[in-house]
Amino acid sequence: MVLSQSIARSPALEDVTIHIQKLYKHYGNTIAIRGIDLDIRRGELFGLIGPDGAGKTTTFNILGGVMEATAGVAQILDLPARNARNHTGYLTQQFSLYPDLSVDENIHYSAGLRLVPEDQLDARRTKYLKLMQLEPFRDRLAGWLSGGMKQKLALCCALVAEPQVLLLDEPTTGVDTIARREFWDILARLTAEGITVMVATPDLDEAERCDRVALIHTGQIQQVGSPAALKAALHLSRLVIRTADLVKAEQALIPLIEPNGQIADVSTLGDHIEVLVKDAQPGTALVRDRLKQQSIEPIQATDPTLENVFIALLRRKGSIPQSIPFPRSQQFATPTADPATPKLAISARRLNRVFGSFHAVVDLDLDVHYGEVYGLLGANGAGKTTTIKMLCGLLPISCGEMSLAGERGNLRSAALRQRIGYMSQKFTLYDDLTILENLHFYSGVYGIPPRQQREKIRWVLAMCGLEGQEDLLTRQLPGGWKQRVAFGASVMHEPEILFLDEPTSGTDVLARQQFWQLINDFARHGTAILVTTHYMTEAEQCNRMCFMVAGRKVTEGSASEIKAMQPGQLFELQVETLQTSYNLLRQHLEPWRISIFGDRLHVVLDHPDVELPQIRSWLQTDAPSKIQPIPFSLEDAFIGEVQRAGGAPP
Amino acid sequence: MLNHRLFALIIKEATELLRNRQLVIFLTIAPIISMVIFGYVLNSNVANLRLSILDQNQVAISRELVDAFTANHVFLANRYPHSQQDLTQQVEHGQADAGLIIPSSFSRDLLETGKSEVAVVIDGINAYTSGLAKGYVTAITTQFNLDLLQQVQPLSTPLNIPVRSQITFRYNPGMLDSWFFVPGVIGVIMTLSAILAAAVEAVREKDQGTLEQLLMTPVASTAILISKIVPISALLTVTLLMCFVAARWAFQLPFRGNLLLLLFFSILYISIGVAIGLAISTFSKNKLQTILVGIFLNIPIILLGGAITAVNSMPLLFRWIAQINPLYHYLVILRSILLKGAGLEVWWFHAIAMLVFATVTLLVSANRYRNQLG
Repeated sequence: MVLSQSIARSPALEDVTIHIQKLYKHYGNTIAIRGIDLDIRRGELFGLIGPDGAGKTTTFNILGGVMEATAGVAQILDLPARNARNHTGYLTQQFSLYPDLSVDENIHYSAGLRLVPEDQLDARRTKYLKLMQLEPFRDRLAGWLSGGMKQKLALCCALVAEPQVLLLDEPTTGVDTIARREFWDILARLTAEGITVMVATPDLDEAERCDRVALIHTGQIQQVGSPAALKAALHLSRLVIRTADLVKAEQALIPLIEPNGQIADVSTLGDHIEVLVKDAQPGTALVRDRLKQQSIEPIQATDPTLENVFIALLRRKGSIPQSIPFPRSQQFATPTADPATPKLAISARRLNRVFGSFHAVVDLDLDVHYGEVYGLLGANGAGKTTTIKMLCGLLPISCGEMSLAGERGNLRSAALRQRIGYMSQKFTLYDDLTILENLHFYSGVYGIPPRQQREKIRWVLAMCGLEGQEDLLTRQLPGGWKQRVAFGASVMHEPEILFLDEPTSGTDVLARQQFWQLINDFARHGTAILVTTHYMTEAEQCNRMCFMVAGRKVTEGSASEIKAMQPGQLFELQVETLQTSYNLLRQHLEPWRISIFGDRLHVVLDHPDVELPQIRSWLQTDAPSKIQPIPFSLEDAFIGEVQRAGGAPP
Repeated sequence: MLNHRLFALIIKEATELLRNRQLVIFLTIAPIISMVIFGYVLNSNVANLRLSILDQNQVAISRELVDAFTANHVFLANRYPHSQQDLTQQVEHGQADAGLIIPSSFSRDLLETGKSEVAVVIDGINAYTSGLAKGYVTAITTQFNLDLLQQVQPLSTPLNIPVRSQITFRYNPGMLDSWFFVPGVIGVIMTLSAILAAAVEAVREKDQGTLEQLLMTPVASTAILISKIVPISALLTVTLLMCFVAARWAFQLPFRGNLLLLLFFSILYISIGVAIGLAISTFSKNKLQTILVGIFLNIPIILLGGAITAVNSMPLLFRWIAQINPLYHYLVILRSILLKGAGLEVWWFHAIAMLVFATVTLLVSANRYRNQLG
């Protein structure tokens, strides 16, 4: 193999490829990194997790050799990072492709920059394009590729020089679920070939697939270890409670939270409540006792997630943003007032939208009630944004019927717009205005009376933790903060229907958690909320949701309903030689049925009784030491549904 | 309520405009500088044409002729070649703009037959300059002939020159070219600035993604339009006044008419420009496209508007096209007010034309802006 040869030629053969010691970086008076120590082994898939502004990108810039450290050691293959650039591939957060060059030309260009010998270029290009499944698109202009394909191409461009270390700074931001899973499968295969991959991600579900992760906060590494070890170190169990009245159950449990007591945390997610307890048995008993008056389904105890670990860490550090009540001046019909005939906020029947010869949305039926959080999920290009634009009246519908807040005819009247809130996919603030000027502007155009205006602007600033910094130009804010301010700006007028198009794209875990607290708070006060997202952990928070594939709705229901609807069963396999087994199974199973999670394989089987023995026989030499059924995650359900519906468009 | 919203919109647009320092410079300082430069450079007078002289005669009378050519600074003798061939070569190589050849038989022919010939070679590449040069040559030789006749026949009856035209130039007594060009350049600058600034500012809203957010708010599209027009118009009006002051100081440009009328129609014209700019932005996908379309559209507007050319000397078809060019009407009004001090009773037709333009462009643009996502 070409790759192993290049490793043999390399100057260093030691096991540690990335070595960081006492690394510091100052920007003027601010300290971005304060003393990081880290050793990463060859072939490791290493995740770097942290909130915005934790120092992740700075670390990458130093390792990528584009920035000098203030003090400390940053070595790659025993060379100072700057001198090791020929052995390093670095994907920055921005797309680094030339949109007007074709796939082939982009690769050719970056191969030329990195002095790849002309005679090897063709072989390498073919190899990596094949690995990324980009071969059919060699002549397509990079600008016309989808987000996921662009990132795969960027990876190709980095790989064509056959680097031994890959540095990836949030490579999957803006990439949809399916493409993300594929991207991580590719990363797993690259590490199996001996490439060291260091990757930052805001999505903690993805981080579960790393060999080791480091939690970084305020420029320091707080914890390092395998996801399983980190979760075990938390010494907490996660209880999942399903009941009819989630609000009441949550209110009953929240007073029990104590820093060192049995119950560590309580949070409501869409159709269930999660409680973190010290010990599963007594914890379950305590919860049961507390919720005696309510009928609850059997409580399941499971392992905590990486997100639990992360939030617990940040809570210890006192970095969890305070929840500040929204200064309301009006109250909408409560959703539970009359469950028999709930008022519909949004209703659509056989909605269609055609762009030229492209049918973006096909016969879509949709009902969203007041007080409900409804999730619109789908891959890029599935028609989510088109749907949301039609529903809020920005885009005329090609045919079909719809009503919005009881309005049927003119969806563009000022009176109706006054009752609707909308946050589009792109940043919705004016970069050249200060935060305060932006808020003044939006409260002004929504005609909020001056006294309320002051109160609401104060609320937005407090909610974002930006008090005293309101005169900062918006362009100077990091992405996550911008999103929070934009959300604040779009709800100041207390809309009764709120449209959120990927509100959390590019934000960190903390901001996402706060977002969902706010979204739930608005829903509880009667606002109907329609939200799109790529993150399936977030989708869990929706009361109801639907999956869209190629403009059609394929499944609808609550997260539990959708998971229960899935045919087949998900199995977790523990095997010795991960990559070999993966390759073997890939020969027999469809690609979407199998993926690598850290040191395990996840396999979806429709008929386990027949297929499990088959798997054992295929893996003869390396029979799995442990096979256990695990519940479907929403992501598994989503990928299964999309594949059965004919797959996502390329 | 409406005023409250409009106020919020205008505050936002004005703040954004003023924060964009490059654009502010483009709208204030740059126009004044280019006006002054154009005022000096755009000049139809010809002076200091380089003249190559081959005087093969070398007598008093031939030197007198050379003096007649160079005395008035139209021609500047800069080369004295030795042969006719050298002279043609110099003109050919662009070392001289014109050549004067006085043959050796010049004075003899004049004495013997009473007439003689000289040859003048003019570089015809620049048709405009060479046309003027030809006129000067004719004028200089005519004058030389008259002088000669008076010297040779001092006692005979005075020459009868039956018609002598006495031309008086009204409004621009010095026939200063700058008086014609400077208002034209001001018009050009207002056109360019208003269209480009509005288009770029509006398309930025699309680039940033704030457009959808803005369209989702309960503001009317007319309010959005007004909010885009007011700050740019205000800034350009200040620029306009500064241009007048600068033109007065640099070119002694008179200001004979009513300032308020002039301001009203200038603001109206700027609004038309802003509306056109907004309409362009709704058709374009990004900033670059907007700028290219804007410039492409500006060229015919400027060339057919009579800013640096005379509409009356255009072919009939183009004279008709000029009627649908708002710049043409604005320039007629601008020049009438500045140079003639003429009032509405003289140029009412152009005023009506401008009002029609303003109504149409504003309506189209408001409509496009609201519906551009569909």
